[in-house]
Amino acid sequence: MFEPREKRWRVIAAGVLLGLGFFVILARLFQLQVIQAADLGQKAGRQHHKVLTIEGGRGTIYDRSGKILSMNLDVPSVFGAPRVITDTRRTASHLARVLLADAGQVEAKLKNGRDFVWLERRLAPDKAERLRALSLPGIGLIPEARHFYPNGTLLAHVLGFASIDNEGLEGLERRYDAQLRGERGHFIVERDALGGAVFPKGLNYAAPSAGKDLILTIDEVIQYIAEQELDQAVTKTRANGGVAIVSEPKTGAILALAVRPTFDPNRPGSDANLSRNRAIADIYEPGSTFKIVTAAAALEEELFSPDDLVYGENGKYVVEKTVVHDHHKHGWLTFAEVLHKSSNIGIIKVGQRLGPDRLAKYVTAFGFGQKTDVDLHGEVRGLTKQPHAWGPRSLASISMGQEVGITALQLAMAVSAIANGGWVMRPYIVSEIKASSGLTLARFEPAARRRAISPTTSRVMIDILRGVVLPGGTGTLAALSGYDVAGKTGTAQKLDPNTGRYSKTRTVASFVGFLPADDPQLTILVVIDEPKTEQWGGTVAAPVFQRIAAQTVQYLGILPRDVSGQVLAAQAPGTSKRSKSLGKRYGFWEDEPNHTAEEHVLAELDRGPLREVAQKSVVAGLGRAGEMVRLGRKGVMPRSVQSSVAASSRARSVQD
Amino acid sequence: MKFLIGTFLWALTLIAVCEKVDVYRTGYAIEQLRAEKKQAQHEQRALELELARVTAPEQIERVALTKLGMIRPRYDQVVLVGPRPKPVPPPSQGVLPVAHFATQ
Repeated sequence: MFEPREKRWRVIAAGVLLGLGFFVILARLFQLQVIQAADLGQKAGRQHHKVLTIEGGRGTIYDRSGKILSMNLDVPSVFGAPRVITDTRRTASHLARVLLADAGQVEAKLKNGRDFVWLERRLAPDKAERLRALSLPGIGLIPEARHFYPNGTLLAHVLGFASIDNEGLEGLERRYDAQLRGERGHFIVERDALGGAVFPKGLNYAAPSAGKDLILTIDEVIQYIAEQELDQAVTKTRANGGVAIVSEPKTGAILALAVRPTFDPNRPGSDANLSRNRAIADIYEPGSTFKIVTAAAALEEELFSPDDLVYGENGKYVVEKTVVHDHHKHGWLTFAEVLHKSSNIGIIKVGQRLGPDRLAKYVTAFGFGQKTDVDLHGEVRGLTKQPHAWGPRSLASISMGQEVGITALQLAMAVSAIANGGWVMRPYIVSEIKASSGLTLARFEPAARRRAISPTTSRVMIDILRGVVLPGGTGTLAALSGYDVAGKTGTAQKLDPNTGRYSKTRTVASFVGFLPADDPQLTILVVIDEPKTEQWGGTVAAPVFQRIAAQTVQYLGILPRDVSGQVLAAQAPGTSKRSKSLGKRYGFWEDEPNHTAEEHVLAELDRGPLREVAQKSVVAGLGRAGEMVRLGRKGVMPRSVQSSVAASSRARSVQD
Repeated sequence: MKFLIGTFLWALTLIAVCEKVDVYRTGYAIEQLRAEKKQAQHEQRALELELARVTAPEQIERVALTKLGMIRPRYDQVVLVGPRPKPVPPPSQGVLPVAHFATQ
């Protein structure tokens, strides 16, 4: 038995011990829960929670009927974790066999002592499958986004390409990089003992935003037609390159833009010469196609009428101590014949009556020397000089398309202005920006930049240009039976850098025109750079125009007319009531061709001259039914840079 | 009384554990479904891309010319029976919040 005193001592001792123990625990708790709480909390979080990052994915680009032109897809990349690999040599030899790489190099990569090493990025699916089957320890596959262009080289210069790090480098991929690029998202999941994800913690979820999709005005089929024909012409004539543009003259929408030489955006390479979009980034002296501008200016200023006579000087004319020749000797020509026969001397005389100031005014009015504001990356302004900087021969040279540097797209838009009643339209390629959910975020509409000539001048010019493809004109090979074609040939001599003179063998052959002349639906421009077998625009470029036009009108269902102007399709078997209803059911027929709205707006535009437009701020949209665009106070579109910046920022604000 | 309270607490604990197990089980199921959805979406995109590849005009022409023995029609061999409807872009889902950017 214990003595009571001893008993108390023991109780006290036990109490103190317990108290001390309790105090130690309390202190430790205080240390863990209060002093180190933040640090330890983070540590625990790292162990229990896992942050998963999800790439937003780059947007898809579609043509105008919804065909995919470029798309993102996750493909596996293979990596190694060298510290986990036990038998490096064996692993390397397995890998080398699948990846078709050198075993020594793979082994060297795996021996570098790092925790992580990329072995090959963005593998072909079959290689990934074989690697998965091998299931080598320390070798893993991670999905990474890769951009695919399913049509290969088709539309390469317009689409451009994106880098391996999802950054747009050329073309639309660069111009619309901010829209196409998605935003990364992340969410936090709890981990189990093996490190696997258990379930997401709802509150910590930041959804990735997928990049926006672009809908283009380009039509895949017309683009294919243009590229094929351009390809054949460039190959056949052994030319350095070429450009073909198909657009809608009333809206400025680009239906096809083909450039040669070309590249495959799936494997872009580093040759900037191939990826450069020559239609907007290269300037050239247009030669005779530019005579359209001189002639339209003279008509607009009422200095000539189509039947006025101009003396052709029998093919030789001295301008400022330089002899100008015509290809054929001409005596008296009518103003219209000056263009039909593409007389240099005739057009120089027209230019001389026009004078430098007025000629320069129309060169600017038609959009030369300024960017067209097309929504593509890398456009140049071209080279035009103000009259005070002109030399003594400049007036003559510029009248016939020398001493000016233009882009192919500028010319296509200028000729579209002749076709549509005088409006210089802003060319555009993207018609809509959509969220990945399908919601339309922005829609781009046709926009007129300014009026260059009056509707009357436009009609007279169309009439004159029709004669170019008729017998006796220089562009007969562009004629297409069933359609009234209006156009102009061009054969521009190139400057020889060695002699500083115009070369007789190196030319730029071109043809620009539109059809049907009485209601233009298509403007087509063909430029062939330095054809070797032949030189003339009428023999090299006009046939390409004709072939592109023939296939495109048939594809679009633009109906031919007979000599009296009757639509030929009315005679076709599909016009009976039964076949018409069948046609409607299968989408071949519409009740009415959809022109009325366009015509209405065009008529609206034609009521007053530009000055009135400037004061009134009229509705000046062209294009599809019901789509209209309000012009600014001056009746002139602002720079597309501004509008597109506004577009992108608004597109973003909508998305936010 | 003590027995009753003990049983009650025991039952509560059991229920809590069962709930937790259920939550984890559902969590795993969600994760699995998420992975399946991702895989299905990936496959769908791959198929869309493949469709775009095989319906590219160049591919169609190649098959038509080489496998099906077709030829390109001459210009005069094509008779148009009517205008073609304008191409319809993929349908827009939802309301148009903003339009007409080319203004101002």
